[in-house]
Amino acid sequence: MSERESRLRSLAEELLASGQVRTFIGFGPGYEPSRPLPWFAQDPAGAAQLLLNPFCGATLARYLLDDGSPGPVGVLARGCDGLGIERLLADRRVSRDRVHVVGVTCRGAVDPDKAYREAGDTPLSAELEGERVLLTTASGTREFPRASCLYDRCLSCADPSPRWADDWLDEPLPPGKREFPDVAGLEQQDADRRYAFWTRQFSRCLRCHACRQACPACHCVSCSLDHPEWLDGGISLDNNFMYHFTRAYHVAGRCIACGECQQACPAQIPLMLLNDKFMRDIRDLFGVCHPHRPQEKEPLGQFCPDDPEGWREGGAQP
Amino acid sequence: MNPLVPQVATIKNIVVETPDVRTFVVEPDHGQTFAYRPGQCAMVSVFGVGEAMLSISSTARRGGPLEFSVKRVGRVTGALHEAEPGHRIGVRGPYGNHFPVEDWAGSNLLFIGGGIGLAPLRALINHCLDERRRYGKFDIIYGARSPQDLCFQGELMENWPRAEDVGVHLTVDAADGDWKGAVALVPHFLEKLGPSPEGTTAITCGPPIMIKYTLASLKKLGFSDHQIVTTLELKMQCGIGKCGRCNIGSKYVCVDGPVFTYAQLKELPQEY
Amino acid sequence: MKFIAAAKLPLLLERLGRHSQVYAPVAVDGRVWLSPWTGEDIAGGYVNPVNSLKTLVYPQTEAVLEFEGGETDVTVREASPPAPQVIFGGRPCDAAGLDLIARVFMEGPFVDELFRRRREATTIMTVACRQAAPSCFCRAMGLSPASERGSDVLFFPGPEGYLVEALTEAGEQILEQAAGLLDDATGDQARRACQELPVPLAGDLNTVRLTPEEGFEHPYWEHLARRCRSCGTCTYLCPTCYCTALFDVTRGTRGRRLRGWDCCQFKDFLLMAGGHNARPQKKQRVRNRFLHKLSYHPANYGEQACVGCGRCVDNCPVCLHMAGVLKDLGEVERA
Ligand SMILES: Cc1cc2nc3c(=O)[nH]c(=O)nc-3n(C[C@H](O)[C@H](O)[C@H](O)COP(=O)(O)OP(=O)(O)OC[C@H]3O[C@@H](n4cnc5c(N)ncnc54)[C@H](O)[C@@H]3O)c2cc1C
Ligand code: SF4
Ligand code: SF4
Ligand code: SF4
Ligand code: SF4
Ligand code: FES
Repeated sequence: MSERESRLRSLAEELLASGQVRTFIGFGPGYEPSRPLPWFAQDPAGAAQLLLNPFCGATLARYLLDDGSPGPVGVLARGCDGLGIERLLADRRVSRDRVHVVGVTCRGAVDPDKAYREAGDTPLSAELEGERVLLTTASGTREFPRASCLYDRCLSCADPSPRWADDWLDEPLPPGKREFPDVAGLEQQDADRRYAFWTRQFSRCLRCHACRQACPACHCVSCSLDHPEWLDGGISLDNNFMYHFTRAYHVAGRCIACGECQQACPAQIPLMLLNDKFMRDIRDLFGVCHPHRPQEKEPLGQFCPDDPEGWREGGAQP
Repeated sequence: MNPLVPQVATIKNIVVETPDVRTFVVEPDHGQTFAYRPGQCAMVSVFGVGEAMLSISSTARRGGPLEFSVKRVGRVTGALHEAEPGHRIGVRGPYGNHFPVEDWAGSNLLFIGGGIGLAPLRALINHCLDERRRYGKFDIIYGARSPQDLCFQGELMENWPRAEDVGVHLTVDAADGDWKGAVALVPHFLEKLGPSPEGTTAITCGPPIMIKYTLASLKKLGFSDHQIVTTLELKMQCGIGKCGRCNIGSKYVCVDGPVFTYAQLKELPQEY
Repeated sequence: MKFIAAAKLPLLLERLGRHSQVYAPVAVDGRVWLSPWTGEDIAGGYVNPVNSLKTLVYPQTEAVLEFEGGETDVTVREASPPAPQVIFGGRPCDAAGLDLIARVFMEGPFVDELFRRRREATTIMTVACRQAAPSCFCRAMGLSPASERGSDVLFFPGPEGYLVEALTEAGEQILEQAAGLLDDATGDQARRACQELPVPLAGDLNTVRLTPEEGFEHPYWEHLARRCRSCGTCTYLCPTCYCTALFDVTRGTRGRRLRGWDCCQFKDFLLMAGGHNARPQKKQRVRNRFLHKLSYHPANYGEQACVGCGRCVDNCPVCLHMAGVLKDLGEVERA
């Protein structure tokens, strides 16, 4: 057991025992070692099963919306979880006094599918060491490059630590800078090729809503995508484009770049490319450096007299 | 023949029952209406809007066109309320089981309806009245939100009370100026009337909440699980047991229901 | 038993394509899908395509009828019949899944004409498995990497090509079109290799102990449901889930009534006019998904509605899956 893991367990136990929280949300044992599950500890026995290892994957913030949770709630927060919590607070879906945030600095999560592919067998444990990942399977431990084992979303992460927490398991790291290399690549293509690209992507969409259900910014109680007046249930390329435009526009300026939507998508549609394009444009247009970090002034949620209005002058778009 | 494709039918007449209930008299454009039994339903469509499952409120053995009595609650029912005689709609059916009238020979019948729940009961009451001799005494208990929300007033006030050995007992949740009758919720009203369970079958239809409390009242009055018959309402799409929508445990309300005895209900998960 | 050399497979599909729409496993952006085939490389080395056979025989959206005209003069036409199609490359679990849901559509008081027509217009050429994923558990569900249920033709892959066996009349007819491409088979090694392939998650699922009577209110359902995100991944990918909705789509005076997949995990699945919802809680919906497969469906059809394909295992974003539940119920164990 790592030191952070034992600290997490005793902290969660304390919080539960003292009644400061009624539930602690973290990770616990899954059906396989490489797939820990979101975990809802409600007593010391539950807290003693909490896990913190490189296979802890899914983001946790959205569970704060869960109707069934008797609050107040403690939650383990890596950078992505922390921004998700901030999103829900900023959107007034969760109130600050109902959450107790236990911050941890994330070094990236190992994708069990990638690990299986790399190691050729079911991974039993993983360790992160700088640019290397040590994967242990039944036949021993081997070393692999970080880039081939981590979740895609972790490879482009700029926020390893939450920006604030009520308790810390370790020292927070300062946020980095998000770069948008893939957006530039896409923009270099002509319109026909871009259209062909997105056609190929969106034509696979199942409209399963896994992207929406994963997203800490996409939490409207009544979603326009469920209303046939806005979008009928028929699966067609037109409707799928409509679905994705709606989704992307509705999280534009509010997306926290956690990448959970793309991670959840069973059709492996590169949703982050679209999200990143919006983020990059918002950064460039509105001068907000960190469009994915909830702030007091939302880039698209307010009007400023000096907002660019390229469309008025006939559409010189950045 | 694709069972999901309705016959096209024309609305021949519309009877305004209450501010939000209308009865539609409907005839198929080609061929015959289907045969049906009291308690069965049909999927009625307004093309371009969608379909709604509706009880057939007419009585087959009286011949004549199909009738549906519809409460305005949403898209399809709203579109029906906007319709006029001459408009063409779709009808497919009949769906579901029916009231087990063959089991009731010699029994007193206690009909308990609330709101639009009188629609399937109307079909049943008229069916039973036409074979009046087979049964004992009839009692009809019916409640609505207010006097103006009482459906089928012609039958409630004229036809049924005049029939042989039929008691009609009306109640409203809230009275207005002229109302001389009872003011009570159906379950309370039922308990006050206190009908004897002896040799009696109770049949109840209405909104889920009324059914819940009515079942409890009937138990209090001493009715056994087998003496109570009710209908269930669950969201439906296909009506033919294929869309997976309307299950309660392993039963599908569209084909195994909507009519259940309380004894059957108790075997199902309480999830409706 | 016949044999077809690997190099001749595209020729076979091309020939079948003259009279039918052909689907084959094709890699799209790194994952294999059963896709309309127009000469692309036929993928190998995949365990199971992302989309199951269900998606092609019971499509995500299909027309029930078309209508035209206004309130007083509307006319209605049944949707036109489906074109013949041949699907190469589905797996035995999926073919069994298709046969399993076929019973829902073909049995009972009504026959689902849309399903029947499309199934009859479809020839299923299944490829038996030489490789299983960690998430496969067909053997626990009474199937195997070489099971025949639901297939018209079964292909057994070997190093040089495939052993080919027609299992139905439709399968035999389709192989007649392959004259000249097939040789007589020598030996049946490939078949035995598939039949004997071990599958990681095994078990014996004769009974699931958690019946509604004993387990309906068990805290286990709450435990499962807390993690579920109420998305449609598990049911949309599942070869045996079949819930649908009907809805009208209009353009001007013409329109179509469509039938499209729906999902019992969505919170509004049972929302009725007036706001009543029979399963408003996630716990109820999650429980319904598992009990439908393990208890309700068996009560009606005498078999579990899961074929162990592993899709929900691999794709549920929070790993809340059938094999896990079966393990919890003590029905499945690692071989
Ligand atoms: C067995 C049965 C018998 C019924 N008999 C009658 C009757 O005689 N008179 C009457 O007024 N109403 C009856 N209902 C209720 C009626 O079906 C709904 O009020 C109607 O479907 C609402 O449709 P909507 O489009 O107006 O509402 P919306 O909320 O716009 O509905 C959208 C869709 O959801 C489905 N749906 C919504 N609510 C219900 C519901 N309560 N029950 C079933 N499906 C629903 C329908 O498919 C509908 O097309 C019956 C329901 C059932 C199940
Ligand atoms: S998760 Fe993927 S397949 Fe599902 S709706 Fe979103 S983009 Fe479509
Ligand atoms: S859109 Fe995707 S990346 Fe952005 S907050 Fe939502 S889930 Fe995270
Ligand atoms: S079980 Fe998994 S895939 Fe299914 S609805 Fe829940 S989160 Fe989505
Ligand atoms: S429940 Fe899961 S494993 Fe079983 S058939 Fe469906 S997707 Fe496959
Ligand atoms: S309404 Fe489709 S199964 Fe009952």
